[in-house]
Amino acid sequence: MFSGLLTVPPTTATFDFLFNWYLVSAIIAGGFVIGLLLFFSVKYRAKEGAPPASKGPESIWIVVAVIVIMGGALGAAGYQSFASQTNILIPNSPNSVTIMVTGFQWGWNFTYPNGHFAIDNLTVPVGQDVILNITSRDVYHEFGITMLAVKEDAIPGKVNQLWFEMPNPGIYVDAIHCFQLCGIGHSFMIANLTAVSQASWNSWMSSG
Amino acid sequence: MGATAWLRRWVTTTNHKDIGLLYLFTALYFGMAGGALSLLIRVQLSVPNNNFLSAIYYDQAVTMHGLIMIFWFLSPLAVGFFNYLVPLQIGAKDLAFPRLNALSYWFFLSGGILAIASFFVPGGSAASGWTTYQPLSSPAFQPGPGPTLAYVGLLLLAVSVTLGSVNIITSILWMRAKGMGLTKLPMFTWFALFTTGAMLYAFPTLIAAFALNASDRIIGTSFFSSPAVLSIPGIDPSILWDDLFWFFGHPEVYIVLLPAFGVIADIIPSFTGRPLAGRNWILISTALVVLPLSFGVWMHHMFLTGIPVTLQDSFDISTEAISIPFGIIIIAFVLSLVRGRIQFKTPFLFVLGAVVLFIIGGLMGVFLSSPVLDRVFNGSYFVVSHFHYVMVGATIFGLFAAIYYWLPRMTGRMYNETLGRVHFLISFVGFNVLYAPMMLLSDMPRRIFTYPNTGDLGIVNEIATIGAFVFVLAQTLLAYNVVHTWFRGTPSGPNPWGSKDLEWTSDAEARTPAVSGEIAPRGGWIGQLSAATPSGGAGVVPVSAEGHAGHASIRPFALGVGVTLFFLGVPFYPSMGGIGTMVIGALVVFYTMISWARDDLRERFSVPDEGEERFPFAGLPKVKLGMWVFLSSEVILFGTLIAAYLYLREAVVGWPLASSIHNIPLGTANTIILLSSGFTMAMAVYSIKKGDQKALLLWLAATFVLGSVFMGIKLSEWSDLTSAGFSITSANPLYQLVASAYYFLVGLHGAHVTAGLIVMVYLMKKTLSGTYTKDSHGAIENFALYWAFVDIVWCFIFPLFYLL
Amino acid sequence: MKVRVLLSVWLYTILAVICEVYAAESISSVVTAASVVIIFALSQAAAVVLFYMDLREEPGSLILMVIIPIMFLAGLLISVVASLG
Repeated sequence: MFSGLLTVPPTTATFDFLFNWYLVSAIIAGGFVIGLLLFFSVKYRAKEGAPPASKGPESIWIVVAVIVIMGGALGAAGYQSFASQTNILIPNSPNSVTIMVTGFQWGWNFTYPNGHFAIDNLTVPVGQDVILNITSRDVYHEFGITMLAVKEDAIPGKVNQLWFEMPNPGIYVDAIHCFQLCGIGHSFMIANLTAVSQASWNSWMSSG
Repeated sequence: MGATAWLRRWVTTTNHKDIGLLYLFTALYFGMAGGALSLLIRVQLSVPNNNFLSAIYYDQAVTMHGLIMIFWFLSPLAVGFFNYLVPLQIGAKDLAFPRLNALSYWFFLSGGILAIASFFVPGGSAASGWTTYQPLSSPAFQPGPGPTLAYVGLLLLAVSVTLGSVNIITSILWMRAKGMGLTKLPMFTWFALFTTGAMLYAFPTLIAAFALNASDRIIGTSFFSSPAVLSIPGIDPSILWDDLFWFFGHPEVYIVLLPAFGVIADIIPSFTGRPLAGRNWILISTALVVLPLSFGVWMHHMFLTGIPVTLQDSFDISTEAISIPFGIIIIAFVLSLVRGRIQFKTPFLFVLGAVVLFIIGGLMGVFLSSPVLDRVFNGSYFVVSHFHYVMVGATIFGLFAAIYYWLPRMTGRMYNETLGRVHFLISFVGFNVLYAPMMLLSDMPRRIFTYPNTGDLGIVNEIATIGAFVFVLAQTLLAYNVVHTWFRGTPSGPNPWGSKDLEWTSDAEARTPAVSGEIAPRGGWIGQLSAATPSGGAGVVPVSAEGHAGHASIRPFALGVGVTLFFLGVPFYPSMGGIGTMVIGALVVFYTMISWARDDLRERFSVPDEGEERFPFAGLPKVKLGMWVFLSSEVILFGTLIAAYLYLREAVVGWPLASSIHNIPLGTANTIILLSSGFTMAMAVYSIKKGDQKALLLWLAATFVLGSVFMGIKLSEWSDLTSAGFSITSANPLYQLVASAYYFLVGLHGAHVTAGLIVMVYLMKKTLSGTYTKDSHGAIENFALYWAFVDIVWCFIFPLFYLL
Repeated sequence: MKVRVLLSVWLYTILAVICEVYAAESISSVVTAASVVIIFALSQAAAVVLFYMDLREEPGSLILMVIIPIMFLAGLLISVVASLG
């Protein structure tokens, strides 16, 4: 739903699958109930020659059916949601890269393993798991990369983690936004995501 | 009727219909204010890179739009209907505590005045979102008197809601007419009970949270603020605020929604000609599943805060579970159409619209219950779309249905049907044009004041803005219809909808003779009758004029005025203007409270008759029930504050042990003194139950003395502590925080003790004049309940602050 | 008879306070001390509610109305503690 990318990143793929599952369930459920509502409204409208109003069928089994069907649909959706938790749980990969992200009023500071830092531009290697340690220097911010389906709160005094893997190189302008009102500069806490080849990444890291 | 008489009626009324109308019209005014703010927002967002509103004004507009709509429009509109209809539906003459009812209204208005005033002070209003996240809302990041005014206004509103919910709950449980058993209650009254029950337990947390916030801003405590405190290892003001706010905030959204469901449940049968399907299932689902569970889903607003994944999973499950009872309710509504003869009058159209929009919005909520999906949707316009579908779509359409449905009852006239149908159609279309496109905007963050010209952002926002204008402009049709009907509508007859509910079928007013101050419809007008003209004159009889107990009182209004003045001054302390306003306000408050007490001493206010159906509270006197209801909400207030304190102690590294700060022997002795006063108070009750007035006086005096000694020792403790350097202005940030927690919680308890001491003076005076007897001493027992509660709270505060 | 009950409750609450002070001072493990103290506090609260406020003699629905907020608070406390991880 979000990509337009060559290879879909794993977190995005997991999200897309889960979203579609929920979407289809919702459309079926909503369509059925709204359709029923409209059908009954039309069928039982007051008109010439219609029988007088009387109680309709009422049975505990209707309630049971609702509980069973909803419970089943929600259970299935919930199960899929649990199965998609790989998006949230930080993987234990051997060659992951960890980058420190500090939100501030009003921008994002990315501090890399080699000690360098950049403002409003996140550079990551292609094809490697990237783990972000996210915090804030002042107020509550929220760090989100919608196209990668990842987002976590940037809270002062706390470090939250997210992970992703970006398979496609390139510069993704404005891929990162702040999603929590943090003052008058909130609209401008926008950052780019730059994915470079592993070779460029390694040479940059070792250049000190 | 002269202008002064008209004014006097409205400021002295305690009648439920009058107060209902006051709430309705005031809420509609605030709805217009919030709506104006929403149009400003939509204009600014209509095109990319717009500069119609700068960031700071946009943030203020967004914040106050949320606060005003939720707290001063949606819920008060429902409360207005509760006021007007609940006594009629249960066959009571009025609510249980009429002056308290009036006080609730004036505090609601007072809070609203403070909120609106916040725009006009230097620095403008609050700008951190209605969710008031910390530390953005603290004085360090959002200084100025404006936000403080708005937050204090909200506190006043929360007090108004607490008083109102005690009133309505006691009324429904205790004031029903003979034959009105609980099983016969109309659905609207049931949902009024559900709503006020949820309010009773949710709003104390709001009071706790905003009291801590206001304390930071006004007194200078350090719960959420000061960068120095932020440097303490482990401190986490953001999460503390999140927990407090959302523990209130999630039940709050059901508080907003449930009245509309009550309206829908009452309206459907009137337009299908058949009874509601699954009535008991609707009631059971709401009372036994939705209400309890609504207090167990709040962390789905906190999925991204770093809580453990297992906790996220639990709240995922509980949030999904809460949709099942709603499914049952919606299916019941749908099945209520089967075999009916449906008339598509305006109220029914709005009900249909509300149900459809609720289905859409509710399904969107299910998406948000998944922590994984929330990683994309949190903080984006998908969420904005979701909650507007349920808050505006379901709730407002339901309340619009209520306006049309009950307008004939309130005015005796029928609205214009064609205009109503057009209003519905345009509103429904405009609403969907406004909010449906937002479902696609999960990459647009909330509360940004502008956005770049990328992708569909521009076109989608422009469509939404057009929808907004269509929707808002359609409401002029409602305004016109209501006003025109009120003055020139055709008479509707007593029961135009053929309903079986008591508010339509009872002719109780025609049968009982007019009592001064009673309200009754006459020829379509709602006039206030006076004893001198029982068949419909226009005199107003205030309390003191004729020497006999009346039904009107100026005290609630005066108290509202005093409180408004006082809190208008508070954010400007210590300037001269601020202090002056506070002093005037305080004087008005003191004078009014003394006058109120004197009214009671001279029995100038006539309390409404008691109801006859009181299951399951038969045998419990009315005021005692009210006191228990009130105390159960105080449990949440103190409990939340203690939970906040425990959180701080657990999170912060290096919290000092109590023994290093406090004088434990003195604290222990003081505790023993307070607990002994609990014993003396219990003995006072025991004495009067045996009819011994002298012993009552002695035990009351003993309680008063012990309580005063407790406060005296406490004040001397505090003076010792502050001179030893333990204060909120301590040099060490950690001690600023520890002191903040100590003084706030112990101070709040002390305020409760002091209030009790003041009431004891009043009780002793009444004892001296021989008021209390073996059979009539309700006030003593009720006060004893309060005093025992104050003791219990200290049983927990003492060990937590002095021993551990 | 009733006076004796009230008197006993009074003496118990004072005794409980003294036990709390002693427990807090002499038990070295903070967790154990806190647990003991809290249990004493809860017992004092229960005694006051049952005997000073006479909750036992009130209708069952009132008891329910008092228990409900306590349950909600328990939920809040448990979740808040769990969220600290």
